[in-house]
Amino acid sequence: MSVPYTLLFISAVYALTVVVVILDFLQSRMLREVIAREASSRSGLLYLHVFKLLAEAAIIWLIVAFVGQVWMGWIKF
Amino acid sequence: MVSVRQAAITGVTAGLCLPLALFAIILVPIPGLPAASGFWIPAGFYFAMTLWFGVWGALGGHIATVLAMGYFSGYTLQIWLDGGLGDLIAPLVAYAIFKAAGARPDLKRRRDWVTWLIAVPVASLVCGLWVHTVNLMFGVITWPFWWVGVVTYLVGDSLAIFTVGTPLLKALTDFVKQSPMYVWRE
Repeated sequence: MSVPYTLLFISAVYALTVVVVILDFLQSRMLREVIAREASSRSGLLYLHVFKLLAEAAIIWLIVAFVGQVWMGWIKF
Repeated sequence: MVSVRQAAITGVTAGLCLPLALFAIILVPIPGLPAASGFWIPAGFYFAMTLWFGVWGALGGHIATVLAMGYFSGYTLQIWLDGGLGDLIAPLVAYAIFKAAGARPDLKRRRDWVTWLIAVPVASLVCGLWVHTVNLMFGVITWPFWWVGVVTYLVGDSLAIFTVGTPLLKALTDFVKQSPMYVWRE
């Protein structure tokens, strides 16, 4: 069974997006104290960090929703 | 006067919630209810933003809901009154319950957890009652469907808020506490 090119391309982009989000999450955990210390003096960094993590959670949900729609047959290639 | 931070919080909340709201309506529609969803995933985000930043987070949810629902059903008074105002009321009800109970959104103490577990269904119920009473008054639904709508709203919103909101509050509240916009300063 051959995988349609569109599905292959989108899946590759999403897979890399998930990897980036996971790496960023791990980095945030490792740098938690550093970021917290820096954010106490620069509030812009705090908002960037929080908004970025919220956006990453939203992206993960949309990817899950995409896979779900392909699974259900609502999105076809 | 609205500060840059307040505008940013509202804008980011609206921007994050809008795509989630659009796909929540598409993915989990409720037959018979236009532009409604049985799993309102954006609520998890704007509940967290409201418990951190107060009305500015709720306003973002309100804007996202109006834009998303209007996209499917038209930008009408009914849509604004219904989901739009409903989704402004819900997180503010949760916020008011947290205030009244003396709880905090970091969910560290038993009181915080109990308040969270009570506030979410209560807020969803209040919002569901509002939304479907508006729908009833505008003739969008009939009486027998009112209960279906309210229960669907209660369950769908509560599940989504618990699923998304709980990890967000647990993971990020300690961080958000450093913000001057955080509303629970001692």
